[in-house]
Amino acid sequence: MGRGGATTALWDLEKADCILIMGSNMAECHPVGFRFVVNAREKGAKIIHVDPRFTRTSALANIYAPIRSGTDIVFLGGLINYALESGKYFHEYVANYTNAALLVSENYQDTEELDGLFSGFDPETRTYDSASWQYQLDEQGQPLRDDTLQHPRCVLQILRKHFARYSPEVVEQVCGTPQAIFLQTAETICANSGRERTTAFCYAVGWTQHTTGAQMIRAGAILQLLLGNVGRPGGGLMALRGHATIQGSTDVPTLYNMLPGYMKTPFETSDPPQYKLEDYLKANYAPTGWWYNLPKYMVSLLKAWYGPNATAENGFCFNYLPKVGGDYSYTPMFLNMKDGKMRGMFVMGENFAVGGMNARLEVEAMTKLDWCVVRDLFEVETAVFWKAEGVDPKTVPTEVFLMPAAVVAEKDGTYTNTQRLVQWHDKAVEPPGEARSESWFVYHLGQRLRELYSHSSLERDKPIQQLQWELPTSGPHAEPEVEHVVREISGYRVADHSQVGGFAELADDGTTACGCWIYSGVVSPDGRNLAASRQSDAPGVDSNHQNWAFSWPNNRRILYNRASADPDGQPWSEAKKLVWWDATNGKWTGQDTPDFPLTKAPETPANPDGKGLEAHSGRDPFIMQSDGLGWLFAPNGLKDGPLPTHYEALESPVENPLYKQQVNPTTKEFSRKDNRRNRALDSRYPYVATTYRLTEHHTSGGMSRWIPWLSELQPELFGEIDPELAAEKQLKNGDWATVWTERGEIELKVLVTDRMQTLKIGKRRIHQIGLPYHWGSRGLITGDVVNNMTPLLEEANVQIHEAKTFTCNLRKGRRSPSPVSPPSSSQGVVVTSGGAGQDLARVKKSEKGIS
Amino acid sequence: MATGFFTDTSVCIGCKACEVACKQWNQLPADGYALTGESYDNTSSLGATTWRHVTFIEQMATKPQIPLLNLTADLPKANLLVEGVPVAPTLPGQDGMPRWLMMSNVCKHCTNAGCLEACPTGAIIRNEFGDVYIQPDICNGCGYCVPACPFGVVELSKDDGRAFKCTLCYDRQKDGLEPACAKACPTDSIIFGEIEELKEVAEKRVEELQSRGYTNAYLYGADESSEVGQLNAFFLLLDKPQVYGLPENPPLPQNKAKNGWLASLAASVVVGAVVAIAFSKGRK
Amino acid sequence: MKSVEEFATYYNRPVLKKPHWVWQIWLYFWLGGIGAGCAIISMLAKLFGDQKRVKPIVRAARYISLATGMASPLLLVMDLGRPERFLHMLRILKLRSPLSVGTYIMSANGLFGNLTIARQLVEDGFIPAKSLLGKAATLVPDGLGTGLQGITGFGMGTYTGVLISATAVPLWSEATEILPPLFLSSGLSNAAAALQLVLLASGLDEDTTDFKALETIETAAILTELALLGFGRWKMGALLTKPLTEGRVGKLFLGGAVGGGMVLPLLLQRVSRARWIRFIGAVATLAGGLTMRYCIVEGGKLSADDPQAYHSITRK
Ligand SMILES: Nc1nc2c(c(=O)[nH]1)N[C@H]1C(S)=C(S)[C@@H](COP(=O)(O)OP(=O)(O)OC[C@H]3O[C@@H](n4cnc5c(=O)[nH]c(N)nc54)[C@H](O)[C@@H]3O)O[C@H]1N2
Ligand SMILES: Nc1nc2c(c(=O)[nH]1)N[C@H]1C(S)=C(S)[C@@H](COP(=O)(O)OP(=O)(O)OC[C@H]3O[C@@H](n4cnc5c(=O)[nH]c(N)nc54)[C@H](O)[C@@H]3O)O[C@H]1N2
Ligand code: SF4
Ligand code: SF4
Ligand code: SF4
Ligand code: SF4
Ligand code: SF4
Ligand SMILES: [Mo]
Repeated sequence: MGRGGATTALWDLEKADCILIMGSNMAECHPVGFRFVVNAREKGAKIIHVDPRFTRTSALANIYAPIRSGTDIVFLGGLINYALESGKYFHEYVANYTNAALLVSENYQDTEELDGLFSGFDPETRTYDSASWQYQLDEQGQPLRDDTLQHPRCVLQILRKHFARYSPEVVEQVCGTPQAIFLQTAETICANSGRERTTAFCYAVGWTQHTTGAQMIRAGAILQLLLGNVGRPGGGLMALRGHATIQGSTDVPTLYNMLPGYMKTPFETSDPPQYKLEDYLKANYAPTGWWYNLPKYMVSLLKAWYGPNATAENGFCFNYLPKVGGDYSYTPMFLNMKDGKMRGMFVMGENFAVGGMNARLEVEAMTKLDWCVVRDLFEVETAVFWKAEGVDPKTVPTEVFLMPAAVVAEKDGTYTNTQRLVQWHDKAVEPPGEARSESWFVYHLGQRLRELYSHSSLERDKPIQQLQWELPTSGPHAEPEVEHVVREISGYRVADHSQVGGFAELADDGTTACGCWIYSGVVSPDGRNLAASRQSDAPGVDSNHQNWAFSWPNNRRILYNRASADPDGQPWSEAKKLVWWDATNGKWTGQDTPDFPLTKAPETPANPDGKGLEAHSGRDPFIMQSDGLGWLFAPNGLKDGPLPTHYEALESPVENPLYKQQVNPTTKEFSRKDNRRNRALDSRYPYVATTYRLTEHHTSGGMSRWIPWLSELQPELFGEIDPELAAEKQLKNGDWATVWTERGEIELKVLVTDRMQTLKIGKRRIHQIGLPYHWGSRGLITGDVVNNMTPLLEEANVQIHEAKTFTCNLRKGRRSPSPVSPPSSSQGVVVTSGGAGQDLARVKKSEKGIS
Repeated sequence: MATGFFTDTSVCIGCKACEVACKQWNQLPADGYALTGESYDNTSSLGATTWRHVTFIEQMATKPQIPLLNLTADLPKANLLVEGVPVAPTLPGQDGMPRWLMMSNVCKHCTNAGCLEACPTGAIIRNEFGDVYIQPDICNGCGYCVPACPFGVVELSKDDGRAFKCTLCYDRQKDGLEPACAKACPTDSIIFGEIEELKEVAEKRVEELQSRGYTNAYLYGADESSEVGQLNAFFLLLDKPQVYGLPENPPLPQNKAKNGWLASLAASVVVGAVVAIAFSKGRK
Repeated sequence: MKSVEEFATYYNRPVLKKPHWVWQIWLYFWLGGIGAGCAIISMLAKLFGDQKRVKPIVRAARYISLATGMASPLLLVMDLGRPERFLHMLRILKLRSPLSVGTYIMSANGLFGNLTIARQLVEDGFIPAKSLLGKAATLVPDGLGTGLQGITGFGMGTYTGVLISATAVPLWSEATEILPPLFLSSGLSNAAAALQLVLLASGLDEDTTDFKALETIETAAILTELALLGFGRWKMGALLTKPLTEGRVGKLFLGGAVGGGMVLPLLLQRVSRARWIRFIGAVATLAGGLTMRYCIVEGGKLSADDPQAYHSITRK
């Protein structure tokens, strides 16, 4: 839909008539936010939980639907199919606010025609060319449309054909979800969507961590558009984010391919290479839609970073930005490190020796470094990689610097939480001893580097010399005052350093500076830090708590909220009004900041050769998109197809029942000796493993396993298995068992529970094994690292791994001393050529009659 | 007028925030680090160092063996979730449906408290908030309150020797703060307040749940006429008390003393007579 | 696969907390009982007995209760989590709390015991009669001291039974009417046995001492105990009395307390009145009394740990 954040806010869930929680264990992982779900339920909303396990979330739900891990697209596809065929989708919404009517090129071929591939696939590079996915254009270059939605090439009809086979029967066959429960879910969701009612979706990494992760979320988005639930109270997609400010760390990113505010980093691999600002802008600028403003944001960012040194003449120092020369993302980084291509590393607030995929490989990779800085609260597993089980410290050349970090309560700063809410927090106490904040470390490191390079006259050192790197400091440790960073992020006029009111005031001529355009306005023109404001709505008032902190963009709480009104600008219904057109005063108004040009009347026609939002009519709510529409069919933006389609997980005991193509063909496997893959359908790995969290711990346990009060609550690593599997393996509740994959093996105690259930997939009975991944070798409580078993791989769109679904085997008893050596019998595949899943044919021959 | 808790187990998500908040506020140590295999409960019971304890009861067996049964056939037609659509047999919590019960247990601060009546030193008092409080400076660790509690709440601390249990955050209440556990509860499963008001809320709540098909919802500990009287920490439960490890009809142990003393008297008379006779026989 | 029914308990975990009581407590119950028995015997002996032939009995009884009277408080203080605070017991009196009441009974009994023993020490010349202490010791008339000690002795012999039965522990609380009489009779049988032991050891015979009375008392007391136990088993049933019929404690109780400590002495009395047989009989009774106290305390703990037993008595 165009923005990298949840479209709604947690409190808004209370207004929902139905909430689908899928791909998240919300009650356990977002317990405080879950209070709004409980409140909604108490007001009569229907809560649905779709999960491989019956969890603490399921316990509070009205409907629990079991599902085989990795098959959500079939389930969601089934819902899309149901909505379309039963005619229960929100026709007016779909017809006016989505691209349902647009005609797609005649060259486009669907997976239904190509048995699991879309048109434009290149088997060599395993990438798609999206040319054939584009719209049919008229002579003005405008997309052709058929508002009757009958034309066979119109998006809606293509959608229908694409999902036609995702029937309740197929859902039961592929997901193992009983039809009755699926139908129940479908009916409940449809019955609770439309003019009078809304349904919200909540998801988290149960959806993302798959080779089809991005497309699972797409499927959810398509369904919400069809049901008309986006931009409306009690609707939307609630992306439940992870770490307290993980949202913030993608807004002001820690990602190699992003600059603040979701602007792309310059690539030198593109053609032409983006060395010059013009080349960069040409490549990323969109004449229509919001990205028309890209130059303003980019130039303002460069002004914020390089200050007076950034001038129109030198392209605002654009060339000082590092250029990306390939895939610098997480996974390849570790492979390069292991292959000795990296010299040093800073680890600041991550404990991948437990949390990282194929963690053992990552630990071994670290032993190839010359130097390594670890900043953490404790001496976590990652900090002691040099003496990890099976590593001989004598053989490790790495010089390790362990530096104590200040914990959140020991420093000022902001969180950007799961609902895009930027919230300021004050320091409560001074950090103990040598502990320092991240900003202290980075700021003073920068100062010393500038000192080091101050005398250099080399061109290549200019980026360091010309960087604007001055902050007022205070306190005994010369702590930089981060509130000044917030002001810079919010944006100011270069001339008089007065704060801008928002990104609307940013310019591309160097007169404004802004550290992150989407956050622009977090500091008000009169200098108030809105992130620190704490005023919730008074009883009876509903303004979506607009005076509680600041939510980007422009303090909008519900994104695309123009869609909460009908095409004429009036609320779809009294019950569900949020933002509407006030004709008398000629502006949009309501209970939220309108996510729309404030005075643009509903009847305003689109201006085909207008700039930016002028190209949109007064009806088009999705202002970030070039065409202002919600994309049911995505001609651009996705690397693995314009529509979600079901592929089995890279490691699956089941043959893709829908297509010959077994897995997502665009997946990057990084398949090598130290990152072997369990072959699909390999009878030696018959069980589906999925990994997840427990309320009682936090991710790698880097914090929680050091706290007695949390450690006693979940003291030991366990695996959840169903009674049938337990009986098969003669395992009693609490027995020791060993679980292994081609990457490694771990030992754990089994929790035999009916909450795990055997699924019937075709003729087979599939067992799923649930593995919380919080344990490691350090802290008050220790246990094997589940991630010693998971594969390093990359989904094509966002480079996410597939920790949520992989295959494994299980035996009674404890493991052999080394946690890592793959079973000697190992025949795991190392794919050197061919495509993902292309070895399937081979597998099938070698593996006759899989049980 | 007394303060206390109404704990509504029907909205408990088993997050254990209450248990942790209590330990943190009262600076209580951990009880040890061992997996019990008893669902997600690894602290097992209330005690000297655990004043809040969350129980977990898995009742999935009633779940149809998915997908072996033909569920469509088994749908209870009566219960309608959406107009015209029968309910799939997976409504957690409802009768006959699979469920995972969670309940946060605590000292009941009984109106007639066994521990308080047993205490020979007067260490255990009813404080100004009407709650049962152990004065740590008085308790001499005789341990008599321990078997006198019909709920197995109070316990002697191994290393300290004194008896400990929930104070109902006496210190916080004195400062006008709500108890730490209630404060931490994200779903308001634990509600703190004046008993009289809490009971009104609770009774409405039961009616509502009943009407929504949770026919086995009821209040535990809200009956003044019972031996222990009104419990200042009372609960909305969804199954028999025993399931949660609670006595169905908790006794007030001291009520037994009367008969004991009478029996003693009788015995003394008889025994005395026997001895007297025995000796008078010895007279020449 | 657990069915709903199997959750009649919570993972079979105890609902109650068992008392922490260990050896000090059952040892005290035993000694306190003997002390009480001696107090009662010496009082009634003085009142009804052949003064000449009960003199040694009263004398011995006073020395025994001196011993038990000194040991008891020590044991109880040792048992406290905070021994230095033992006096807190006396900061208030709570009639609803058998432990509170019992503490005062014990104190009173001890106090009066001191009067009688003091006089005895003078009579035996350990304290010179002329001395100030001697005069003080004989201030209170003999009858009064002995009387008060005897009367409080009844309380001493019974209150421990009331104390444990006024708890939630099924084995104890269901035996309210049984435990006090049981403890009293056991205290008496054991006192009688202890006295015989001492008197036999000091070579006395029928002419100088009324052994017959002591034997009658012992026999009657033991028979009462057996009757009470039988009644208890019948009233409480198998589930509640399990701790005293099964397992280690159960075996010890049936074999040691009942078999060795009650049945055996009765048989021996029938067998012969030879000194050494009577000697063994007395020892058996005493050992049996101690074992019974041990089993009832330990059995109570087992009972507190048994959720089924507790639920069975707390069902509506
Ligand atoms: N207490 C606690 N809270 C946390 C965290 C923590 O560690 N502890 N971590 C934080 C972080 S970093 C994150 S990212 C979030 C994650 O929040 P969540 O995504 O809610 O947490 P997970 O437990 O990783 O996964 C959620 C559920 O996905 C299910 N699942 C697995 N595979 C599939 C599938 O194929 N389909 C579907 N529908 N479900 C599947 C799992 O059974 C699990 O119940 O939580 C955040 N909150
Ligand atoms: N198998 C499997 N693996 C997974 C997942 C899964 O679902 N399954 N989930 C993935 C997800 S979503 C995530 S987010 C990752 C999380 O994986 P990690 O981020 O590696 O795990 P954390 O424990 O969150 O690491 C945070 C570390 O930062 C430290 N820390 C806390 N505060 C500060 C601070 O202020 N400064 C500094 N310098 N350090 C600090 C903590 O002590 C801790 O050691 O795990 C991923 N791995
Ligand atoms: S830890 Fe923070 S983010 Fe997570 S639930 Fe609690 S309050 Fe919310
Ligand atoms: S529950 Fe037990 S400890 Fe709490 S007040 Fe009642 S008797 Fe005392
Ligand atoms: S242990 Fe302390 S609180 Fe309990 S009864 Fe004895 S003195 Fe009273
Ligand atoms: S009231 Fe206070 S002491 Fe009692 S359980 Fe709650 S937090 Fe703990
Ligand atoms: S009572 Fe509240 S805090 Fe405690 S576990 Fe339940 S929901 Fe969590
Ligand atoms: Mo995360």
